[in-house]
Amino acid sequence: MKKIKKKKVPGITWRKGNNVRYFLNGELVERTIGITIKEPTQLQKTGRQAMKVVVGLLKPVKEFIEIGFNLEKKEPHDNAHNLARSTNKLNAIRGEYPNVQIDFEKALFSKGILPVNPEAKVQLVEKGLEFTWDPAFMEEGMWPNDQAMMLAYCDEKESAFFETAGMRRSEGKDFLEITPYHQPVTLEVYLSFVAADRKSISNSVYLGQVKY
Amino acid sequence: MSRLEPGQLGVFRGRTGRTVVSKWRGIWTGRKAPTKSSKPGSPEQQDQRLKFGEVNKFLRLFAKEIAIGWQSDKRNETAMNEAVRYHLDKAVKGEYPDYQIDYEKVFISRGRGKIDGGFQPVAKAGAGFSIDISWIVSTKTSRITKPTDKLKVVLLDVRYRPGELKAIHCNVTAQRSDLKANVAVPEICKKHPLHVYMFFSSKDQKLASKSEYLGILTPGE
Repeated sequence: MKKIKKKKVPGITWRKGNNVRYFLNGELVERTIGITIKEPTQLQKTGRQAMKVVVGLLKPVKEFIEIGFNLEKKEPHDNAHNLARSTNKLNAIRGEYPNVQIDFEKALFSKGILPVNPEAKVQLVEKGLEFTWDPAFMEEGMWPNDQAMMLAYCDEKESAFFETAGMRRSEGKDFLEITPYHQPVTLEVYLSFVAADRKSISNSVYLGQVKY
Repeated sequence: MSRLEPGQLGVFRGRTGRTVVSKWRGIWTGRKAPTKSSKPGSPEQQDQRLKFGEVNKFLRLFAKEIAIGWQSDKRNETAMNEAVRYHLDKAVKGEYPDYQIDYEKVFISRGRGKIDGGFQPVAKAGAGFSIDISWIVSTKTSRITKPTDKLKVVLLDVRYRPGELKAIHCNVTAQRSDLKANVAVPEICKKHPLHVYMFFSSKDQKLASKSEYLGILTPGE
């Protein structure tokens, strides 16, 4: 798909054969449409499966990534979901078709410049997970009233538990309630911090796996 | 089967001589008119045909639920296509010619939109000919899951008649926030072991959770 500079064309939208031109998010674009009957290459199959896997990853955490990637928007057509999808498709995929998988250590559910406490950890407690960090640790950019955002992703159940407005950084700990399933599951756990005014956010940090 | 460009043969449909022209999902297709073969199938063909037939016959019992729970955005595939493909691979046990469906691995809904399926769902025999189902909810999952999601319950009677299965599509008005439901069982299924399946769908039926298998119950025993 290509973008048309408005100077060249006075804004006409049309279809000529298999080419179409139309406005998309305020920009005039032109592309070819139609169904291809060529067999996709191995690279194409890998890319398509990667997209499917990443979209599946982000579905249960929609509200989390809407906050997590909101500050990454730069262009009028950017939205949090697109940015989360492209970031994770580039960085958090491993394997080739037909075995493309998510690399949970590299998955990102929020992106920004706010620092995260490097010593943060998580442990299993009754009815959920307890996140702890050192409240006295303050780097430049950190504020005591930054809020914790906690996420526990369950790949087996394609579901996630999260909290986007947790305790303040100065509290040093927070609790995320996990509703149990019939059988034990593995949770991939992440922690982020967001500024109280929501004008700054950190990258999500992977805290490891917990069997619940 | 070939795909035709509009204009090659005009816009007629149907069988003409040995060619059948039809339009499916916007695609003009042409194929040779089918004829019966007098050759018996090879062992592999017979194996595949039997397995395919068993799975198709079984899943047709759940056609209504599969239409809600298995629909995808793929243009050229129906919900039933997707369900058959999955179950052929994952839910058939045994060897030719004794294939059986593994009822525990059946998914009458694979989930669209990732709404929750209800945590810790439990089914037990209720008063009279009924089944009590209960579940709990979580407040920490995505808001795509709503308290107004509708419960869907299907009971599979494997002893309905000799050699015949029956799916009972229960008329349930419960929603997720109710946390429990009582499902009436038809008297004809009295003392039959019933396999219980449940899932949730959104009010507009555009989203569905993954279905849960709740085990075998024998109401009225």
